[in-house]
Amino acid sequence: MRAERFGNLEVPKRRFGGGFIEVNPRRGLSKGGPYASPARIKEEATLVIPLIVKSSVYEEPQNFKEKAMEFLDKLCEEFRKYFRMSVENAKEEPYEVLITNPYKPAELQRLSAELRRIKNELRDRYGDALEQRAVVLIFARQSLKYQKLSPYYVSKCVLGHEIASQVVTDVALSNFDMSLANVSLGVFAKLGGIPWVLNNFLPVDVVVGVGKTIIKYREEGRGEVSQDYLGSVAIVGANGVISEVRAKVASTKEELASWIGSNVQRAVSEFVLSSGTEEVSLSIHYSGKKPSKDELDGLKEVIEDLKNKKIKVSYKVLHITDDVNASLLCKGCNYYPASGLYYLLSDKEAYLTPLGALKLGSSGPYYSFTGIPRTLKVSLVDASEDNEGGASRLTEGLREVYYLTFMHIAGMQININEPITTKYSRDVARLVGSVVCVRKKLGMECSISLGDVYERPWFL
Amino acid sequence: MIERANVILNCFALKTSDANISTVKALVSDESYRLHVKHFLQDPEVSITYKVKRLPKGLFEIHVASIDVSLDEVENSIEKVKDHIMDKERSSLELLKAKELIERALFKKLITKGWSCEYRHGYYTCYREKLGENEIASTKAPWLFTFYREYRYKTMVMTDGLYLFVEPRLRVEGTDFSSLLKYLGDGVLDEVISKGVSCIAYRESEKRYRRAVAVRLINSTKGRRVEVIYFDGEEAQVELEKVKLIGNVLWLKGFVTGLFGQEAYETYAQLQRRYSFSLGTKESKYTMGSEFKEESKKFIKNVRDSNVLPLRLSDVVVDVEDKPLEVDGNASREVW
Repeated sequence: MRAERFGNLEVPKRRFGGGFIEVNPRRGLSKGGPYASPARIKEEATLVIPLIVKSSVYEEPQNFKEKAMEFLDKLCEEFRKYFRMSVENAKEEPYEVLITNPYKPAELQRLSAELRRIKNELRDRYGDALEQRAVVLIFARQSLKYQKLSPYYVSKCVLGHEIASQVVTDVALSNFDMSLANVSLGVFAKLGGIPWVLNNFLPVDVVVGVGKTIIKYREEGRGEVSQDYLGSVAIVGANGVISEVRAKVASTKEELASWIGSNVQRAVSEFVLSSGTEEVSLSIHYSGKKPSKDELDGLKEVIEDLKNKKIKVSYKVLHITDDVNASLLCKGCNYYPASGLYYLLSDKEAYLTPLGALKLGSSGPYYSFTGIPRTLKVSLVDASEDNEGGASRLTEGLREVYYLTFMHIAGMQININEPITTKYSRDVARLVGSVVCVRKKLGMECSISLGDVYERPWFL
Repeated sequence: MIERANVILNCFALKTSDANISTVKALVSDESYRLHVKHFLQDPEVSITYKVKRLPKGLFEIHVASIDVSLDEVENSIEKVKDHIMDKERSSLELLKAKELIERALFKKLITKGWSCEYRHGYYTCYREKLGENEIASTKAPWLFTFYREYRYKTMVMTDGLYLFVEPRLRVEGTDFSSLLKYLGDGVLDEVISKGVSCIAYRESEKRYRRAVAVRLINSTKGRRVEVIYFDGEEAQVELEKVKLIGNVLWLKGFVTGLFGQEAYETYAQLQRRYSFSLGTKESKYTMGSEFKEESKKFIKNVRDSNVLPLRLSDVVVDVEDKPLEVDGNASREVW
């Protein structure tokens, strides 16, 4: 037995429409409705347009289309029930595309051409309404995991962030109950809605999630021929709501680091302008590899620049990874980790289990997962000198990370296994990386132009 | 509300007979290290373990310790690569800086005792025991998947010492396409592959297996091949022996059900759920946590039974505790 170095973080509550406060998202949305809806959703009905992608090599279930239409009807009910949205269901004239093998490049090129034709036809039919208040639901067979050349990425490449779209697979169709609520939530967020905010705000003003990856280009039968660096940032406010996501492909690490620095600077400056304050508390969350010394030096220069503009910035840099083989087993929870349990390895490093057993009132533990959940390792990589001691700063960082696991807006589960800062920056990096790969391999045009600002989370 | 909490970590405290481990410290160039010294250090037949540190100007500093033999024998072994070493001397490492020495010594010793081991991304993974053999034997295709209990380990420095973290996992290996062809025949295999089968295929340019989808069986001048599309879109024709079903039964539901029936799929899928700590079932939430703990302990027991532990690194005896680390205290928590 040894001295206490662990603790439990309190479960954050969410604030929904009408000031309703609740932990459970489904219950909160049912009773209070969404926290905020875009004006156009309130004023006009949202068009829901079905598109069915069939593959001739599979024996599609006879009732695939019927199932899809049934799903669509129920989804429209969910929109009304949870998001108070008025919906126009375009199921009378669903679009259909037939392809043979869904992984063959030539077939995917044909699919891309078909999707583009449909996109243009939809534009002609619905005009500006398409981008403003329509969502395309793509019903397709589930693609093999991790396969970049697949109908999913081709559809994202063609529709991208121009039209809110959602792929619904045969797997989701086989079990409506969970997928309906999740799909309706994701679509609402893609249309620019804010389903909930944190009831108790984070003790920081601006949180920036940074994701980085490498895109390797190969030629048939040869090794790696070239590579690019892909970076992304997700900016989150104190209320836990994502305000923007950006992605950038750069040819050098230095260019990428400089782009990340300029985005941090811009996010802080915009906060100062909008809030009228000159003191900003900033937190930067890195996933993947730890930031190098050069990257940290670059960030410090950015902070210095801001100081020269008379903006006082208190900052901390956290590195968050789930690539650890440690588990915190709580005796009182059948040796499962408890949600929010943390263990301080030192003043700079800690283990945290966001997912785990939770207590629901006076009843027994509630398990929001199957299997043993992964543990996160959170490291305090750097912090401004004006900060308090390392351990309290790290605990504050752990709370911030834990709270942001409750802000995922594409699933009705209580929380997820990582903060949205790292998840969304990585998700958008992965999606944009895959789209770059698809575009290069298939020689396709793509609606996603790199360096774009994505104000709506189209990548969810 | 204040709750009393007890937490157990899946790690075991390391105990040593001394706080320092004697080593031979050597200096080598980048090129010598990559081309010669690294292969020598990694050879499981040579009873040494090492820690390497990159220095400026393209140099590597290596600390080498012996496993269960004297340090003099290390000196003799190193003679084999002496032409590639710029400088060497006797030195020592503090225990807290010697974690790589212990990880690698365990790795080498486990291999020599019949375990299969791999090293990737900073973690060592070892497996030996097959799981569910009786259930698998009762299926129509007992050759389709093999299940192993594997352990992923790493040493970590915490506030007051060095710990060995052990994570029990399930390893599922799918059969290769040469076996599939043997059991299914040309026509059937050709038809199922045309729909796309999730697999791992050897990529010659990287010298490793990569995720892919098998799309066609072909006859080439070099013999039968599987046409695959790798995860990143590269197409290739790969020998049947170098393409294996992906090690995840749940991802191959249609394939297994279509060829061998629902019963075979259910048997394999249930085994995967039962033994995989990342999946579990609704019922398993009452047992899986404690099974996870027991399996971590079992690894230490198996390693001790295989005479891998205790280790002798140079002149220091290294052992681990049998019980995982337990911490307790008061934890504040809002109950809602």
